[in-house]
Amino acid sequence: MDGDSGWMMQHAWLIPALPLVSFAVVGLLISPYWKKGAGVIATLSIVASMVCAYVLAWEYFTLYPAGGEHPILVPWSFEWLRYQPGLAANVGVLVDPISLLLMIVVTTVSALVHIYSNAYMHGDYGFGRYFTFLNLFTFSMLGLVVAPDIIQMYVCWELVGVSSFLLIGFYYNKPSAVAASKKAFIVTRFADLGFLVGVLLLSFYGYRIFPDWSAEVGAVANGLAGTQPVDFQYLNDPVFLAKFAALDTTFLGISLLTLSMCLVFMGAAGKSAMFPLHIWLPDAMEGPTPVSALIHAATMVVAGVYLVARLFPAFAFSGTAALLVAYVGAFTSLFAAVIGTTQDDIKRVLAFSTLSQLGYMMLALGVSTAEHTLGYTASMFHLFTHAFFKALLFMGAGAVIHAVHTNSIWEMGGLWRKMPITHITFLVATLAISGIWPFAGFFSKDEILAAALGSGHYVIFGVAVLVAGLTAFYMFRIYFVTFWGKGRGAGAAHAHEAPALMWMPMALLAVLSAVTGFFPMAEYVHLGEAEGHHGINLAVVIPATLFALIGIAMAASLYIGDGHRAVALAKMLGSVHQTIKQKFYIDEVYLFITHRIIFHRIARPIAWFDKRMVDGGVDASGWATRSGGRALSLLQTGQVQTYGLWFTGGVAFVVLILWSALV
Amino acid sequence: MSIIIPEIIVLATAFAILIADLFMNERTRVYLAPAAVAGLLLALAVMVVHTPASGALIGGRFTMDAAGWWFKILFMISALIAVLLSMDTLDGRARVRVRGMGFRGEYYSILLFSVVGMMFLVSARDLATLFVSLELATLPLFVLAAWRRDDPKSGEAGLKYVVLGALASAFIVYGFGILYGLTQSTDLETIAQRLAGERAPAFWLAAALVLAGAGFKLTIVPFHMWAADVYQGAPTPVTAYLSVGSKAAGLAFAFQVFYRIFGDALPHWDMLIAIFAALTMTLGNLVAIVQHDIKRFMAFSAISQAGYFLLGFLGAAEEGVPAMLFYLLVYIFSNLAVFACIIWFENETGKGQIEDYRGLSLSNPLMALGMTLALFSLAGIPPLSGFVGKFFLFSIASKAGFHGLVAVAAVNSTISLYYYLRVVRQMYIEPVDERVPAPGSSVSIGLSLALLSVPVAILGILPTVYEGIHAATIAWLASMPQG
Amino acid sequence: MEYIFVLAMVGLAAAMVGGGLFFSRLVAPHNPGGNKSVPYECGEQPIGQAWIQFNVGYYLFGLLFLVFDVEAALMYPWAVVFRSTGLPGLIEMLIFVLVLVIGLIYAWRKGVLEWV
Repeated sequence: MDGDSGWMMQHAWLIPALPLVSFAVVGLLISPYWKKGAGVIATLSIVASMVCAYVLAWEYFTLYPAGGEHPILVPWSFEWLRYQPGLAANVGVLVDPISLLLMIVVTTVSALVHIYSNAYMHGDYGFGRYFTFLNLFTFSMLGLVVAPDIIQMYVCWELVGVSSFLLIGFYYNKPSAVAASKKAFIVTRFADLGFLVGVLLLSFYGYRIFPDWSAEVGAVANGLAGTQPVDFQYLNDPVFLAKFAALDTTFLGISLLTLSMCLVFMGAAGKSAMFPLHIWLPDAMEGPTPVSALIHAATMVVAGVYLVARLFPAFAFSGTAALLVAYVGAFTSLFAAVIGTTQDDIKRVLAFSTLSQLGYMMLALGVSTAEHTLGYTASMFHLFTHAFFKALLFMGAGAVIHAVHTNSIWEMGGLWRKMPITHITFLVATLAISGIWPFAGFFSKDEILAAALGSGHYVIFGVAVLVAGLTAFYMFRIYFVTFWGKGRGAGAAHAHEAPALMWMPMALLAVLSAVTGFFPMAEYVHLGEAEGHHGINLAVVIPATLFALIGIAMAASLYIGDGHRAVALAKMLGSVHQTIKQKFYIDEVYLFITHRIIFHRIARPIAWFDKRMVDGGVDASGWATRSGGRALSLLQTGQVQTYGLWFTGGVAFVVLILWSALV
Repeated sequence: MSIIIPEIIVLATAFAILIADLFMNERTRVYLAPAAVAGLLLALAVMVVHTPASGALIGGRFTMDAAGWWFKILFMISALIAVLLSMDTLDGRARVRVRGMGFRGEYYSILLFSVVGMMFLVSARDLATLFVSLELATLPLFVLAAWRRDDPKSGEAGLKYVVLGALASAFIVYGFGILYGLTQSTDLETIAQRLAGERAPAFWLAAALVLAGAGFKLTIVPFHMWAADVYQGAPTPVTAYLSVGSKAAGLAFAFQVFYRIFGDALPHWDMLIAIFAALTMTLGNLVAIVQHDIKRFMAFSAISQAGYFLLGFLGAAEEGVPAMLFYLLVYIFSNLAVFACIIWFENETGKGQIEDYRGLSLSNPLMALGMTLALFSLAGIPPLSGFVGKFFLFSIASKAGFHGLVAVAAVNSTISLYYYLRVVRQMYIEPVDERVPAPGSSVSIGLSLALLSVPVAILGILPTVYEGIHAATIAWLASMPQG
Repeated sequence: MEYIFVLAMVGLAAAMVGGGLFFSRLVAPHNPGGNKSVPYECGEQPIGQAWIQFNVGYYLFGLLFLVFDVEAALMYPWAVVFRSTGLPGLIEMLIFVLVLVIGLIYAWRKGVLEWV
């Protein structure tokens, strides 16, 4: 880096390193001995990391002010693995607007979740373990965000998977939590298989094309001398993409570029829980609620969106891959919103709402092209605002669950009087996610809708507007049922406000959810020319707000009061309602495929073979090995004479061998 | 002149300790170990900071090169850790006293003499110097093995070691004698030149004799027989030093023999080396499975590890030498870390059966963790350093075309995992009947374990060290007379 | 083939030894008697057993004597070439003697020189 960059820029590695060090220290040294300290130190490290992220952002945007050019910087990196000359993977820190955005979101939400958890997990048996995992997760996520090449991205990607597995299965003596953690891990791991193949394809062809590329762009002259074939800057380079797309190797008629981007998207879809890989996210609510706020609202699930955004030029170049992203996003968004209207578990509703919003971000990325990048900005904007209000919703749900000791919204009710702060903050977040002016969601959603409309994908635009209405409906549904009316369960009667350590982060997030919409995101996050849509596009705002208001009105009419109208409506819809409530039986389909077909027809016979033949063989070899050891140990007689004899015999043996080799 | 300063420092420390001990009382003798540590640290510092990686003294009979530099560093580190590990036992801080572990002054000075011998061994460029320094490295070990005079096992260990060691030395001297007869020179370079193309039967007789001697030090089957009894009988800190120092010296001697004397014939011997490697790995591993005494267990583990080292001689020197040096580094750290735990456990409880380690993860999680880490590294589990070390060695054998041998080595790695995990299972999984009384802690052993665990964990991930060794090797090969 | 002589040499040596033993067996008178198995002590009548315990001091004294004996033996050739080795030769010899002196001091302090 040049000398004029600031201190933080040169020490940007501190941002992921602080949680890592804290993870090691807390996990190994502190948590076994000093429970309380584990929480304090873990929290402090994340707060420090957060401060670093802010300083870094400030330095970056001082160097490159808003509205101007925003180059990609790699202020710090070192060579980690050299596979062969010309192919090495670096570990480093990449700084550009979207990585800064994610760093700020991740550290802020993580810091608030850490603070909140100090109260929420108070007195839990695994308090120290919890904070250790939380730190590990934050480190992995930050490592993913700052990855300058696809290898580091993949490594941290898997680390994120592992740490979320650990966190979801945190209550490991609860069978449902164990099942959920396994499900999350296996489903995302399955998706990562696609990602891995994509990475391999990209790096293989990237490596092959690399010499041509550096000759053509004059890598040395352009200051790209240290670039490696796995770096994002290279993979996103138009010259490379053109060469890659022009390869005449195809797979089933699909160009390799599209194929590898689709595979990469498979990984992204797994982490971001896009249909049909979404099944793990609702179950993942078995983890502690702050974990849901961190992982399933603000960070891990947006990793997929971030990955697509990171490789956006490649997706856009492929076109087909971007279209896939758009349609999968739109479908997931609608699909999850429909399911969300019928769920009874407050966290599950939020989970489906997350799915739906992630679909929104994906569709925004998918509809934008290399020329029209509004969707890209909009997606990042929505990621940013969503992180705050969704984390807030989860924290609010956590506070409610903490107070009522149940997840079912039908056992809550009338909580607004008992938990005023939670109520207000939850309302703010609900308004924000429903897209009501002037809350944050309004602006970011508006931008996504504008992008969809501007791109000419009218079907997608229609779906998005419909989803806006559905979102307002199901969010206000849980809001009314939880906070209004009369207390229905035993827990609801004795509920009380959350402790200060819990409501303060919530209050802070509520402020953020209310105001971040005014942030001029397009000035900061854009590709090429800043293409903000300034002012308000009435063609977008009017239908969106109208649908949201209709949704709210419907929720109000159905769920204020004793809710008999809702019951009647459900009865009228009959099997349709049942199908939606059972999440379209997707889980059952998976179960059918895995149990009936894979387990029964394929795994059973293999298991039989394994047990009888392979295990038998292994046991036999183990027995043979042990017997061999016992027999050979008899040679060790303890007699010096014997030893000397063996020694001399060995010499004779060497002589013989040398003789036969040389004569 | 400066290339010999580390040796002089260590030697002077040894004499100083010997003399100072005469004028001290039991209370002040606790300062002897810190003095030995200080001497070694000073020598290490001079070595790292000041000593050039090449040079010659006494008409080329004492020479410094890059590979030798690494060897000397490793010898001194081994000795340093060995002193740290011996302190508790010798100063009587062990909760369960080990009888007959007195004579601190003599103990440390003899240990240092052995180190000096090893250091001269790598610098020797003359048959006589080579042999004398080999003896200087070995004789102190005989004495150390028999240190506990009133313990029959220790005495037996010493006696067996000295008898078989003498046998090995005799073979080496015969071999050297024949070499001198064939070439009329004691200078290694001249010998190598005159041996080029020599294929007389006397030549292979000499080679066989010298190889057997090297095999004895490296514990290559069938020259390994002494190791089990000596490792088991010797006082545990001595075993720790034997298992790494003696093996490192053996490898250094093998380097001298293979690369300096028989460099010309080495490529024709790969079948021989492969056979010995396979035998050594297999026998060491199989017998280790059925052991119960942890020191005897570690002896067979060390024997099998020697088999892996041999793989490095199969390929071209520019690949084999760095791989062997790196694995030696890894082996020394991992093995010493295991022994740190064994010594600590013996000091605290007086027990040394594998079954006695039951429940250690509960009574002292840090020690159990350190030991597990080191055992996993020895077994070669990624991403620990042992895995990377083995990986380099295996890939050399594979490149040399010995795919069958690589398969044998891989199977052996698996077997070794089984028996290393036996110890881990005792520590972590086996149910504990009664609450184990929490053993105390020890500063010197804890410090050593901490110092060792870090490289065990990260050497495999940070490629810098391996690259450093690789660069050193290239420099070393460039300096080799016959190329 | 040139090593056939070695083989012949080995055979000859074995024949010499074996032949000698065989011939003495053949020609020597065979008269075992009690006096013949008595240890030879320069014509004196042996007193007591040969398996008695010696004072360990004998060996230690013997070793010390031997060390300095060898040192003196080494100093003769050194003195002969002293003119040509000059000062470095003197220093080397001083180091050698110093090492031996350290050994002597050690033995002294350990009480080896005191006859018990």
